[in-house]
Amino acid sequence: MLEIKNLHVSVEGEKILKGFSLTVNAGEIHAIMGPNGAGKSTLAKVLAGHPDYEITDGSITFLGKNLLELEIDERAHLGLFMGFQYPVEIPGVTNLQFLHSALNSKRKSQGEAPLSEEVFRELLMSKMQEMEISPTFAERDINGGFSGGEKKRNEILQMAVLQPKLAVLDETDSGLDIDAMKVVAAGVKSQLNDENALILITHYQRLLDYIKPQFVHVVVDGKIAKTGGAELALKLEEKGYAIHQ
Amino acid sequence: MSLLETLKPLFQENAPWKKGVWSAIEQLGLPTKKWDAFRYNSLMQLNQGSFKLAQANDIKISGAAGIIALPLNSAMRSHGALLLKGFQEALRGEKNPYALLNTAFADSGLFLYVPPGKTIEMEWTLPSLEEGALHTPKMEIFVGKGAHLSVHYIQKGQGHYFYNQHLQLSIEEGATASINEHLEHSSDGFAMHTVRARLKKEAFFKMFTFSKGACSERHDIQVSLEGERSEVDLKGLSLPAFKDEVHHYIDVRHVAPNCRSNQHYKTALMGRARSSFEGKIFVEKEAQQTEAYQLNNNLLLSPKAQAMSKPNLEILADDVKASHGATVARPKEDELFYLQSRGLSKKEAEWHLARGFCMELACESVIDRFLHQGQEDG
Repeated sequence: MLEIKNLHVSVEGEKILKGFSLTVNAGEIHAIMGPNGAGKSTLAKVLAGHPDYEITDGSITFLGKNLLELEIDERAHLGLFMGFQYPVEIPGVTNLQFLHSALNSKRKSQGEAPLSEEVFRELLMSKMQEMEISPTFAERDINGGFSGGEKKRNEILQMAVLQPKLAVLDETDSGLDIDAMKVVAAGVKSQLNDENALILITHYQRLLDYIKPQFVHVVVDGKIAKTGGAELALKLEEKGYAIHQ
Repeated sequence: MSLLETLKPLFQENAPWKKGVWSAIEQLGLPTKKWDAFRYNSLMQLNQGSFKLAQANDIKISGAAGIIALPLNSAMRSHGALLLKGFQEALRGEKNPYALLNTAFADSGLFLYVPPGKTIEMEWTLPSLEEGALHTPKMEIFVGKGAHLSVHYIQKGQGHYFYNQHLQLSIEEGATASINEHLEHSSDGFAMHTVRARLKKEAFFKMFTFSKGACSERHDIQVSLEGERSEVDLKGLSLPAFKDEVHHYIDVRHVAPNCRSNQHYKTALMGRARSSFEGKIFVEKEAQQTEAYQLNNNLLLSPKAQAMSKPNLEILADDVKASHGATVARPKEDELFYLQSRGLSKKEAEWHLARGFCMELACESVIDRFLHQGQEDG
């Protein structure tokens, strides 16, 4: 599904990723862990197409297409979703309006007819119920005045509406208490199946108690230093990243 | 020939209140970019233009039961003394030559008197604009003690014209006046909108203007809070596109203590549109415990649009809560990225942000219509 080969990325002249490679197949869950500044969030932003990052070498193939040639919205249409570490607040635009047009843009790109507001509202309400989100969220501005936990839950709600093939969740667990994390984790898990895949970027092992990855990768200084199974995360929790640096 | 040269032969000193008006205009002359208050306005075309006088068509009103509502001409006969006093006072301090031009040619217009305690909601239907004509409607509004007046009107223009409107409000003790104007001037038209309001004790004045801009459009609003605990709330949303311009020049004067003023103007600019905002809050020495706020936000939706903003405070009293702020920005990169990452094209993302920017001040249907027109412009 996703193949990253020897990826080199700079931002404002500083090299962040230095030969990063990763393969993700359908049905897989990958956790990417590592110390601050190792390049984890950069990876998520590069995948989503953030304009500030310069790809100096390497390639990314997603569902058979050269991802680096696609615009940000085209990547989303193809089935990529990035869960933001810091979801942006946008005044004056309601969650409903935004998600309605986002889903219709995706449908249009796939040659499907747009959903009416009425039909979409029903869809959104059912997803919100699943995510234990108050129906009043629909009419509120995007992330406007949301708590940290609400913002992260809203990210997973968007994922549930857009149904991506590959979700890259950037520190979705940060800033969440245990209860909120359980809800978020359950929301993510309920969406997983054999045809999609998940990359979890996280600092801490605790999220992985709820969503168990098959692969754990340790990123140090811009590339993967070690790959293992779920047990690697436990070891990291115990011993820290220092042994890989 | 200049605008004044063409208009001079048309001026007739046929009413007592027109006495001295033309000489006041000639003394001031027409503004140029060297005048600080007009520095961002494109006036050359207007000041070199020639216009015929529009036929004096009356303003049609609805919902006027129980109040006095007369065409200005008839009111001059029935309420001449009251009007004359107001005109003469207004003339003395007037520094805007276009406002004087309105008085010089104001044969059409409206006189409105809302008796004390009366509550009235009304719509005005303004006469349609004639090609190549100067329109000078003058609205003289008196809101009696404890009365409440709410007015809504729409002005739409096509083609080339000079629309020069003057709204004079006198709001008595405990009275409220609310004006909601929706302006769709022509991109070939010129528009000068003057508002002068005086508020007595505990009076409240509220005004909202939606505007799409014109070849040159300027709003000159002066509000004087003369009675204690009076309050003014001025808001506006402008969505100029193409080569349209819209300018706001606002002067709120706190004369009495314990008054409150609020200004919030937003402009989202498309195409090669230009806008300016100059807002002044003046707090006199006696106006203690004033609260005065002013905010101007501009969103540049095209690389060729230009917005100027100059908020101003002049405070002589020492017990005052006041703030002013101005922003001129393009759509934020992180917001665009967030929306695009969910599958919206850059254009759609910008559209949502622009809509979000406007939303707090106007309704969806108006915003959507003008953003669409502007986006077609690129």
